[in-house]
Amino acid sequence: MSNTFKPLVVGGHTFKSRLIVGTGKYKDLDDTEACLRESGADMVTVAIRRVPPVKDGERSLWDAIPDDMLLLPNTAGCYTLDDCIRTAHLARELLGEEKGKFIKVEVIGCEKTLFPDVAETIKATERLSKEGFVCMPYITDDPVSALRLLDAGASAIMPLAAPIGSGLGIRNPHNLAIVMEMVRQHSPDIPVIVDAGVGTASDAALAMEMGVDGILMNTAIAGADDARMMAKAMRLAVESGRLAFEAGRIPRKLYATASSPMDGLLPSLR
Amino acid sequence: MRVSINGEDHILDDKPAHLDEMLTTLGHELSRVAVEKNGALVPRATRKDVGVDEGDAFEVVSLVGGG
Repeated sequence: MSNTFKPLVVGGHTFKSRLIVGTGKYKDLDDTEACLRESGADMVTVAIRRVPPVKDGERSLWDAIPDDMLLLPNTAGCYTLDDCIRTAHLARELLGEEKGKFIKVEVIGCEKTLFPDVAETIKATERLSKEGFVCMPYITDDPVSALRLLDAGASAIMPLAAPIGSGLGIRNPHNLAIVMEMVRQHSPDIPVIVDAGVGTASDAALAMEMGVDGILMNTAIAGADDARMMAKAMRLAVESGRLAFEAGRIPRKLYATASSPMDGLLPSLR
Repeated sequence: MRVSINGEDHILDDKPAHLDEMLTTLGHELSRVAVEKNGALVPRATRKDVGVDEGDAFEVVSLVGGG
């Protein structure tokens, strides 16, 4: 739980945490469950895929996700508008009208970089928003695309910090700052959530210190040597980064300013 | 009878009375799958009214780990 003035709100839902975590690439389901709990997140992303029948007694992802967590199905792996819409519809059918209202809109445009096809992402967001979905689109850190997505009905703007799974951190803090500024001018209630690219706790803290409303991550936790410990590190980083943002950091100065008073200083023996 | 499920041919010994019966026979948990029949989404509430016929193609999806 974070002690901030204003909690993260997406689509009318108030969150306890500003960290959203993925459920992919963990060692096993026990690790998944432990990391989800340790992260303190109250929303987790999931993918929609063809599945074989379950074997008797076999646990599935459904059993590993704590009941009180919201699900954010993604449309990862979709390269066209139609595939994205189809996947969103399947997700809503799977989870039901209410629980299935959140969708992470993802239309991929390039296999190597996994950068989004922004034009198709905007179209998908427009269609799905009209159908009542709470759309959380994954996009590049481009302010103009962010504005187009707001016009299309997005409930959150989720710019990448670096390519998915790259762990490169916040590659363009200036663009991110412009995205935040422009989104807030246009739609003050729509959160900006960094989606993808963070590698370690300092990346998460940096983004939060800049004032982003939340962070979504998967690989940085699941791929760490000790995923559970990293889940905790990320929880603390997101909280401390947010607190530092709220607290208001000191301005940067080139030269020193003494912390101790000059008054009462002993005369020098020189 | 032969149907396609997730892109693979399946031989069903008996014609199921409806879609949910086929899913149960295959071993799916009904509350944890969404289904398309011949390219069209089948609402969960109607699955007991949807038949299974020779040559039908089904997609059966669920949640998996992802970011």
